Amino acid sequence: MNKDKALIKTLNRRSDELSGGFEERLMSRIVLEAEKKSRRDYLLSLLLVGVVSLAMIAGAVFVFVYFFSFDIRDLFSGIRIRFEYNSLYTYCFYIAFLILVLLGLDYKFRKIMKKTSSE
Amino acid sequence: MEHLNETDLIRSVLDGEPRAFPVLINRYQRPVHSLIRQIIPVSEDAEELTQDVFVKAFTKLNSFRGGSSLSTWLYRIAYNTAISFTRKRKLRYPDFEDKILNNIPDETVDELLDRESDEELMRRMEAAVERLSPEDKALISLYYTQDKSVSEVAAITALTPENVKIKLFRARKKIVFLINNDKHE
Repeated sequence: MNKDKALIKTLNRRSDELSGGFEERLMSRIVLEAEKKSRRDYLLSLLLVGVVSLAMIAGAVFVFVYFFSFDIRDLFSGIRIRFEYNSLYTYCFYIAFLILVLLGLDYKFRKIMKKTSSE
Repeated sequence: MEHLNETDLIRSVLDGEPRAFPVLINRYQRPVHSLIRQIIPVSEDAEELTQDVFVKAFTKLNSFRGGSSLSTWLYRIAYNTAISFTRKRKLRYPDFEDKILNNIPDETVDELLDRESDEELMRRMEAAVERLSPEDKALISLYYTQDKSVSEVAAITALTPENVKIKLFRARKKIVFLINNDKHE
């Protein structure tokens, strides 16, 4: 069965070459597929982190409520907001706002620096 | 990168080495395309399916356990892709009764398929191969042009080696029957 010279010759005549640019087209499909795969992996890991976090929060709430008879109202019952400290509250908010602005600027400048160094 | 063996090449692709997959494509694109081209009659479809095979291989490479060689694994993907393409097209192929095939003597088959071929015989044989079912075309292509052993063909097509032998034997008889039929028409 191995010989079958005429059959082998016929089969070899039937095959043809790949067209030009085949590899380039294939590689662009592979790159697209790789991007899709990494996006899918990222979303999946995000989903996993979300589900695990929610489960942990639910577990913690369950333990606090049913095992330690914790009631959130008890925690805040001692807190009283007194309006004579209004100016102090304003100052605290002003400082917090400044910190947020500085953190934002720090993030932005770091990003710009990273971009210029990579170029 | 071109000199890497199969295992190192797979590891490089899985590690995200960007130059590794083009090497793999370069190494296997011709044999994979050649198999698909034997099964699929339209050249453009065969090329498109060859691309599909490599995209599938890229996405499923992490599931490759190394139980067979990489080429066998790629051929298996190529075979399944091409066969399912032909099934979707719902193409019809001639049925052969066992009685007809059994009436063809083995010596006739051996003599005709091993003959120093002339152009007329080649043309008729080409037309006969074209009328075979995709599974038969794949089997004879793997065995005769890709130089795969019966056990390798069995691994690619998910058949037993005995079944492969029987199907190859019958495919040869079908070719001879179709050649003779063509001669009489």
